[in-house]
Amino acid sequence: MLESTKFIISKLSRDRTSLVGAFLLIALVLIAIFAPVLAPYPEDVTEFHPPERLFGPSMLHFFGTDRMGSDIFSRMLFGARITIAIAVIAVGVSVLVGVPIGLIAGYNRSWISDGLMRISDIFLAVPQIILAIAIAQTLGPSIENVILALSATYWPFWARLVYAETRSALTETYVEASIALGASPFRVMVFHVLPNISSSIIVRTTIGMGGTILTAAALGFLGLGPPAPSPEWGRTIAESREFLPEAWWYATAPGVAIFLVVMGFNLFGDGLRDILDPRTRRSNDG
Amino acid sequence: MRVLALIINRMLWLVPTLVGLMVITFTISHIIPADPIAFFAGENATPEQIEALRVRYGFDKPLYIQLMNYLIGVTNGDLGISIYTQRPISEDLLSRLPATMELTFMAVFFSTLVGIPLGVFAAIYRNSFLDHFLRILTVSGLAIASFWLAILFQLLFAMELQITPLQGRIDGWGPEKITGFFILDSLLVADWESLQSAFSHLILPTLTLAFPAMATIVRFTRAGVLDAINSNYVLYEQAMGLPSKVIIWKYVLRNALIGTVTQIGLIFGILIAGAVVVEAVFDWPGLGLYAVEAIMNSDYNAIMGFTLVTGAFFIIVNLIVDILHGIIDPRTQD
Amino acid sequence: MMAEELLSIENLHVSFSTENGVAEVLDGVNFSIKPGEIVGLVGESGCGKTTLARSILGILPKNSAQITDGSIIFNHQNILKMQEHDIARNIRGRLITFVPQDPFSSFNPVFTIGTQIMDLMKWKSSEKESHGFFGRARKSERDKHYQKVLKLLQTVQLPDVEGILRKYPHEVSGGQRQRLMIAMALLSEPRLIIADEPTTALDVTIQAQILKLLRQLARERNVAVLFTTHDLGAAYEICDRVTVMYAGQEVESATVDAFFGKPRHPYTKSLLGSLPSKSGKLEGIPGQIPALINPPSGCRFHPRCEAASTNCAEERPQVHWPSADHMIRCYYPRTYD
Repeated sequence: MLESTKFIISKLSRDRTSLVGAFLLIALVLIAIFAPVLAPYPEDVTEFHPPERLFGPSMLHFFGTDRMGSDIFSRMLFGARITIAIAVIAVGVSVLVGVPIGLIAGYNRSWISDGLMRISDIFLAVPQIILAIAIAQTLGPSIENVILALSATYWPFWARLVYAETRSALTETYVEASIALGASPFRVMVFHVLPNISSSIIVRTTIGMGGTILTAAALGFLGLGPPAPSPEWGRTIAESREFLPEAWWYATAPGVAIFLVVMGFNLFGDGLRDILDPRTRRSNDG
Repeated sequence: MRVLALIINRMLWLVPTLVGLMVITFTISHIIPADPIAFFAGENATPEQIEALRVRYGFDKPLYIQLMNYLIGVTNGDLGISIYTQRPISEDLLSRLPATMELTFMAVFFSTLVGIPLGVFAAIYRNSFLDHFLRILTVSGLAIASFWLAILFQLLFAMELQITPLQGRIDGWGPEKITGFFILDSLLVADWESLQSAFSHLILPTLTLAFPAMATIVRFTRAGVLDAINSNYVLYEQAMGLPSKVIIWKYVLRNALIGTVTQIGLIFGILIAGAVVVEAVFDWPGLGLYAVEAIMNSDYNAIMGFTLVTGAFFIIVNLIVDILHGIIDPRTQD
Repeated sequence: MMAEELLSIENLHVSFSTENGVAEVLDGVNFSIKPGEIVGLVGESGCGKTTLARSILGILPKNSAQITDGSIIFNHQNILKMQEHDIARNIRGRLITFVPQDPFSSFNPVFTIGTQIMDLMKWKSSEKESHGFFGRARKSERDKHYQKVLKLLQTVQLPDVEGILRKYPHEVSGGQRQRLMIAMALLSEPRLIIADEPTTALDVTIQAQILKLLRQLARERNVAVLFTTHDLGAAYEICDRVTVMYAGQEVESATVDAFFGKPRHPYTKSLLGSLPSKSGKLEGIPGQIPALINPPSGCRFHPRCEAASTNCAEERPQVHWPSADHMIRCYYPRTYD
């Protein structure tokens, strides 16, 4: 396990795109952790200074100030925490729900299997954001509800993937052998199938993060995310609209932030896939 | 025969999927809020008023009866009444449909027309400047938030350069209504002023919506063309001296497009998701804007109606894609 | 070289750039075919026979392969000095055609067989016609082409020829696909067919039929065939002459009788010895096929050769003709019986 981790890291470090992705993600995590230290005005997440409203970028306010006179740069740094929290928890819940469902449906060959897969197919039949809007709207705007809405709509991706991978892993000789030797279904699933398919899950999870962040930001933009005065990036862009074009800086920082983070996950995910899952390798070098 | 069997098979799957979708929207709207009627009636309602509403909307009945009533209603095209517009939701949605379809259709048209040739060129000239440039463009297309891109376009083209309208679908009243599609209607009644206006209003929303879709198409076309170029049949066609324009634009492209066609469902997903926020930014009077207005007004019957209709539309698109794939790929077995 | 040669390759050097360095896949190869002659190009996998075949057709991978030296004279013209445009129009698919190794994957899966054959006919037919961008041929021409295709498919002994033209490649059997490939190679009335291991992917029972068909048709039409194979039995069955390659160098070339009867090169001898014989004794060749990135110097076989001496490692032996139809490149040729 340690050896293979070393191998993956050495491969990734030779791929320029993956390196850029990794750099962006590390920067995001550091910014989220050290937001209170890095932010010149950490109190501006909740405090207002109406006299300073809509100042342009300057040495005092790198990205200018917003409609409440708060420092946009400081708020963006704290916004990174919200983005990470939403993406990590929502994707984490999706994985925790989707993977066992996929494993059980893949292992079990009865009506349970059909039923579980039909349900996830119905969820997959509708664009995620549409269902997420419906759920988030009914529950009311808050971080927790955004997470709930995203988890409820994204789990089928993992269920589908794990289902297909489990079906093919079950035809592997050593899995067949352990079943023949009388290993319990739980044992087979957790100790034989799961390690075998973990790389696909990791790749899917990394790439899934980018999409989840975009959907979360869209919910924030539509007013379904955490309510004001939250520094959530999508919400900040929505706020900025009535002050355009004069306050052009207002939407720039959050937009660039979303772009870089999603880009980070996509690039890193592409690199991981090339190493861990060569079957679906992007045809780059052909 | 093969195609017919495929169509029947997919049609049979359509019914349970649609019913499943209805059950999901029903569940969201009837179970998740602790007390939907209290939510409905507002904070100042008396317990008597709430009880009256409960009976009126059938919330006093057992849940499975409510579900049956809901399913029967939906099957008859009854999606309930919008609290905000006070009109049947089905009528509201129907009147908004042409605007969204016009926009989506333009975006599909534009992204395919541009995306497929770009994907082919990126594959033929791989690792060239063009290929690297397109790779940056496609990676960006999939990472950019469409509502932000929409705002950037507005800032640049409408506010700064003032070469396109800022928002809306048309100046004035628009052409005489025949189909509801402004471009088509103004062509039909030869209203050139409306045509020009409708077209200029379409540019920015179309570009915003088409960008991520185009990125997806370029990516898949490029990968498909590369796979085909490295195949034995292309080697054979080259060895037999077929002209390379015939090899690429006939033999390779058909193979590559089979892969791209299977992604049309994905692309429609991107477009529908994009339409909600893009319509909100451009004040485009379609289904997406309707959904956003419904969100603002907590009109959640309307949101369920919107979810159901777009979900059904998406499912049908995927059904058509499936059948299309079966037709163009002779290897699909029944 | 003698003027009567149809194809004559001299001192051909081809190298491939790989991740680990430059591989010299062909190292000064000489090779020739007379009109109507069937020549087997024999060697183990990776000896360069496919590269040689592809060099003639001009379809080496553009970004990794490079022809560094030598000439390929076909019909008195050096192909390597010709304009790509002229090769595409007059040589490739016209005077030189191709039968691929794998008839399964060499058909385009999403077009009917008829479409693919008619396209070849349209672009490569021996009667010259001018075409538009996608070469819309006139209807009378198409009918003429169609009749010609039908006749040709009958000559390769395919049943229900009109039915086959309407089918997709996956709907016909492997043997039938290879018959189609042979028919397609004959469409343009070529002078030379390059058949790259044409039976390797097929069932053993079908292999012999296909080889017989290929030989018979080539004879009838006086078409030369370059037949690459690692199967000495197949070479014995259909060839007039056999050339053996080892690690990118040709080592011996002789008529079938001389080759199988009196092989002179130590490598040929061991190759023949590794065939199962009546005595039941199977002799392997000691050592391994060398890597082509830093190949052995001189004669590349010398590290594994029982007859090798110091000069074998210093310089590659020159071409040597023990008799008019027998060529070897060896300092210490054997006289076996």
